[in-house]
Amino acid sequence: MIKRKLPENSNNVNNDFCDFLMELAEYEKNVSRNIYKFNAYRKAASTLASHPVRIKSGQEAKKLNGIGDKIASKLDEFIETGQLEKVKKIREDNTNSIINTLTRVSGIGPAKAKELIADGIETIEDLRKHTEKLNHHQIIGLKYLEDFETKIPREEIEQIEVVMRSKISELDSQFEIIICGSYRRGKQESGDIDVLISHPSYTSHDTKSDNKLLENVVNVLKSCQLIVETISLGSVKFMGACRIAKRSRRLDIRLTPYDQYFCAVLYFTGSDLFNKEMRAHALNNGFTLNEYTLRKIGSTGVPGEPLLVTCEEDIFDYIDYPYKKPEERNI
Amino acid sequence: MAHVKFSRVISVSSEDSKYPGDNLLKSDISSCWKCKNVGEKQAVIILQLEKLSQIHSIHIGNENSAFIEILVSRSAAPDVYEVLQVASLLMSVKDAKSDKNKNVVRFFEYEGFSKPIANQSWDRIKIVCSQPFNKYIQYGLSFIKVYSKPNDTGEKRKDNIIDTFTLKKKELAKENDLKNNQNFLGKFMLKENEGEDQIVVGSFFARKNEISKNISTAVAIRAASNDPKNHISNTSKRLSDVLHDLNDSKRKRKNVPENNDMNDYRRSVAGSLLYKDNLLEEECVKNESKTSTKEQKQNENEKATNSASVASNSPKVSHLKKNSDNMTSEVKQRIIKEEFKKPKRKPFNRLLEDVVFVISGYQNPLRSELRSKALQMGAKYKVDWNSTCTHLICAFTNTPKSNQVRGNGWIVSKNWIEDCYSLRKRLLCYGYILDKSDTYSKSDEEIWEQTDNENTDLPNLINNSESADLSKNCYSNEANNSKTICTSKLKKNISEDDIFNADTDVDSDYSNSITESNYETINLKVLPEFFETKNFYLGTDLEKSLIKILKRYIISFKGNILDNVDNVNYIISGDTKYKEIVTNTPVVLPDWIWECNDQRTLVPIDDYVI
Repeated sequence: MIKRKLPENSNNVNNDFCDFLMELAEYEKNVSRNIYKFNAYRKAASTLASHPVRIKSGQEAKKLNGIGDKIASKLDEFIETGQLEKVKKIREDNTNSIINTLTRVSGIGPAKAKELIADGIETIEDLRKHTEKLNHHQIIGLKYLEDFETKIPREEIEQIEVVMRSKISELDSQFEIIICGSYRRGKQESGDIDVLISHPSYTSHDTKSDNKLLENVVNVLKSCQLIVETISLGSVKFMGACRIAKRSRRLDIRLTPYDQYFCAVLYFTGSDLFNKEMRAHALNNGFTLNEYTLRKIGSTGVPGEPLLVTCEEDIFDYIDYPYKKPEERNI
Repeated sequence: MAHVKFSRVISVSSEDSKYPGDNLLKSDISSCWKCKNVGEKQAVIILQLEKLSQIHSIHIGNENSAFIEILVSRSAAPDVYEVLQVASLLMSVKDAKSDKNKNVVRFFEYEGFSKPIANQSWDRIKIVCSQPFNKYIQYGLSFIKVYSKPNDTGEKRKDNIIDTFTLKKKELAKENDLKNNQNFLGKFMLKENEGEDQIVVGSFFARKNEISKNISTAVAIRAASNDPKNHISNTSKRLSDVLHDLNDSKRKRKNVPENNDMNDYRRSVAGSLLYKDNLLEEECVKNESKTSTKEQKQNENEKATNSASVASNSPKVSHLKKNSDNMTSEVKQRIIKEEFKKPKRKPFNRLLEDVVFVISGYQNPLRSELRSKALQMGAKYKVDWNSTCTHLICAFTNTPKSNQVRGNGWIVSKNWIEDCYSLRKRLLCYGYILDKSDTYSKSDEEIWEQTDNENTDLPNLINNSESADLSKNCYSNEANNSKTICTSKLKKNISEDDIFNADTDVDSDYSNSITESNYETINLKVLPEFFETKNFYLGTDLEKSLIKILKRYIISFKGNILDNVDNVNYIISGDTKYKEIVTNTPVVLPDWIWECNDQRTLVPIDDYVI
């Protein structure tokens, strides 16, 4: 999982608040394994980051979306004392810092990190000595640790996109190709490259699991030396690494059914918080939205048939949500 | 395809006086039904079908609606609507907003209907229309036509009835055959016309197919009630005799290894049954007398035991309804099955291999902990419930997930996984059922861990054990026969979280006592008493948990534990200070106790003296 960055706002007046909230969020995710608290802190941090004025008290912050009593009192404590007891404790907590270290490796999450700690592995060096405890994905993650941690400049993804498009359309011009993720949202740099492809011959009614579409695409990209490493390859999802300049980059390619293409594009463009909001809005309007389909919820709560979606705007239209361009989805 | 007409409009959420719901009954397509006001959230109409039909196709003519959902019901249960056709689009957003294509016709066919629903017959149909995209129009339907399957369900159902009827007849004939073979049982004549109410022996022994006889339980019960005292007084002896025979036959059949101490086994069987006798009192009368009557019959009818009668008898066993004890026959059946089954064994990583489980209500990190424990024991994890799943590990009753699963699988608490894991043994789900009113029961079995090393060193075990409760560990290692003795005895002491109690605490005392005695029946052999007359002192340097387990072992083998070092025969300790305090008493390492236990005798202390 790529570590989430807050909205880019260089003149973020609430920067210090966001920092400690994100620290708390990471702690909840990695050590307490409580994803709800993690999301709550993240949401609060995100709200504060996009708030134009510096907040002066918890009371004031409580008016904002996603900040309640508990977080408000933490803000107060921070404003009064300049620090937070809880953050101090977290920083002293050795486990937390070890987990944070180990999870830098792609493929190692908090659960695996805890397992490793139980086995006495506490540093990246330890990991390098004990690769037998890692799976294929994690070994590659370790091998390219520095590369994968480095943000990818937008220009580099643009180059990769050009190569990819030309090679894939050489193979079959009917392929739809789009690079989603933060790149599509217009970010200047991204953590990884998330490619979505689709083909008219592949639909949800006709999902032959033995289809070779993705395999062929991956082979083409391998033969032109764009793809340099494969973590996993199934019939609909490829995970691996590609390289065009100095560094290797994490690359995911997903094959999605033609009729579900736009729901997938919407989903993988994110951001995840934007998706959450949009789904919640859909539910309010009696629809259920996921990465595959948009469906009307029936009178007894049974989701209806998948609705015909011909573009991303259709989805917004159906659920009566003002259309947001990808660049506007950076919540 | 036969057209099914509507007999009337039962209800309508709203209707424009110019376009009432009744218009849909007309064959004239030009007239339609519209809701009364613009911008209504949804428009509902309920129609009565002329007759109960299995719906095969529905043709809809739209009138401005964006979505339609079709539900069905029966007049007998008019409030229960099932979704036949999920919410479907009749108009796109663009069309709705620009007021175009408002009279589309859509054919909904059987293939698209919700499956279990579409295979049944219905006589009511409810249409839910909505138009969320345009709040400025009245909407509804212009027509609806329902078609049933060409060959209606009527005939089919008749066939079914005939089928069951003939089946029943066959069954009756079979029963009669049986009775003709054995019209008399002691002084009771079997009545020909007992028919379906007839209950057959099955309470205790027939079920495991060890011995089974053709005998009516009804008769047995009557016999018992004629002179219960008489039977009771004889019961225990007879029972032990029966069991004697039983064990003999068991040995013959199953080739029980020679070195098994059959006498002890039998003795404990008899003993436990006596014990049961005392406890069960009247409740037991019926069953005991059944057994005794059976025994009578056994004497008279030795030859009648043939495989045919076994086969014909066993299916009826489950029909034991007359027993109005607190216990259901199913439970009994289960208990009895276990009672005599040799423990099944599997390696630890396959203990739960046929379990497919879903977790509900537990949050991380507990959730992943549970999952990984179960996975380690070979279970399979599914995110959502489907037909392949067998167990729901659930935190609360009445969650949507548990309601979905109810009746389709075991719904148990997390303790089941945790206990299986810590005891290294697959436990019965029965004691872990979350909602005691849940009556699901299927494929519940107890599987013990297979340990390759029969002589696992107990001290090692203790050192390695993470669990504080050492008794549990010993327990897990019951592959080792020698330990079975002490552990099973220990088990009785730790009755609180004893899994056997857990298994049965939902039942009456009755079953409880049975399982308890049953436990002894299976595992208990008489303990050797090689520590008799020996006094022990446990050194203060030992860990508490170790002392606890040492005490159990020593007492199990009839040793005494004293609180001071005077007058003891052995000091169990790892500390040399005792050597200085008491010169004439040997100070022995705890390992000696384990060795004694393994060797089943008083081992020379030489190797273990400090």
